[in-house]
Amino acid sequence: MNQTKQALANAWIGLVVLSILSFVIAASSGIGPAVETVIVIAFAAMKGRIILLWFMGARSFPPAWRVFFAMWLLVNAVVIVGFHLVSPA
Amino acid sequence: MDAPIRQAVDSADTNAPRPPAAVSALPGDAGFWTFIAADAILFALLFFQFSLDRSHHAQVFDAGRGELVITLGAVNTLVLVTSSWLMARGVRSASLGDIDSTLRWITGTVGLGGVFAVLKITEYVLEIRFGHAPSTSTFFMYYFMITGIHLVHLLAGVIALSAISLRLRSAPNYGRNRVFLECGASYWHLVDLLWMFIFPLLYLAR
Repeated sequence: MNQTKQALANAWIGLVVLSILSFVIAASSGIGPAVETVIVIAFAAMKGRIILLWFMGARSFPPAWRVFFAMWLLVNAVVIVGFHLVSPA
Repeated sequence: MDAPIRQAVDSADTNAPRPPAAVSALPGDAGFWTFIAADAILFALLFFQFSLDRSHHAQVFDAGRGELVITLGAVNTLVLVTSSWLMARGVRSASLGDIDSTLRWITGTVGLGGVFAVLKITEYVLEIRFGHAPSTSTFFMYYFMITGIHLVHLLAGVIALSAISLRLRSAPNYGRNRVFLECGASYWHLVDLLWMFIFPLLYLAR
């Protein structure tokens, strides 16, 4: 769970950048709702992975727990994007 | 180098304590992680049900999403990721024995948790003034339910971290407080992790 100061700062910067990019992409409405949704949910999964690895210390989790959280991120992203893509416009 | 000295140096090299091998372990208490996993699954089910209902009523959900104050949700995202970073810094300081710094980092974390709660309640007040309540539409039922459950989690985290802070003040010792601190930090990061999906699901995805 203990990371270097620089690693934690890098993780925070990554989270802020991905969050701001998500707002900008969602506000731009120039690339179509389906692509926007795929991007913002992919960014959400990436942010989740950053939190797990760098803040929660998932690198040192037992393998089963690493698999559980990796699957949690993947299933959430696939479910949200999948249902959005099959919804009528 | 004389033979006896060389022998002593060689012996010291082979007997020197080795750095500990990487240990697979969960921070805090392993049992607490069962609760974290159960909570994560609960929210995954909420995300699933929301997405399923949205696929049947896309126009209703998109109309509801269009009524949300996205700026407040966006600011709260930055507030929460920053609070999580402060908490991680607090755990790091504690592991280095710097309890005074840990208390400052936790105070910052709790303060930003308070900011999140105030902004969220402001958002609720605005939505209700706009005429949007849980009974208004399926979207707003999900909006108030998912963000409300998350807000309760956040407030529980604020209370838990405040209690841990008091405990650290009365007994400023990392060893005696490590499990509490790591459990509190892991819970706070979970609150942040959940919001990473809640915000785009409710406010951004269309």
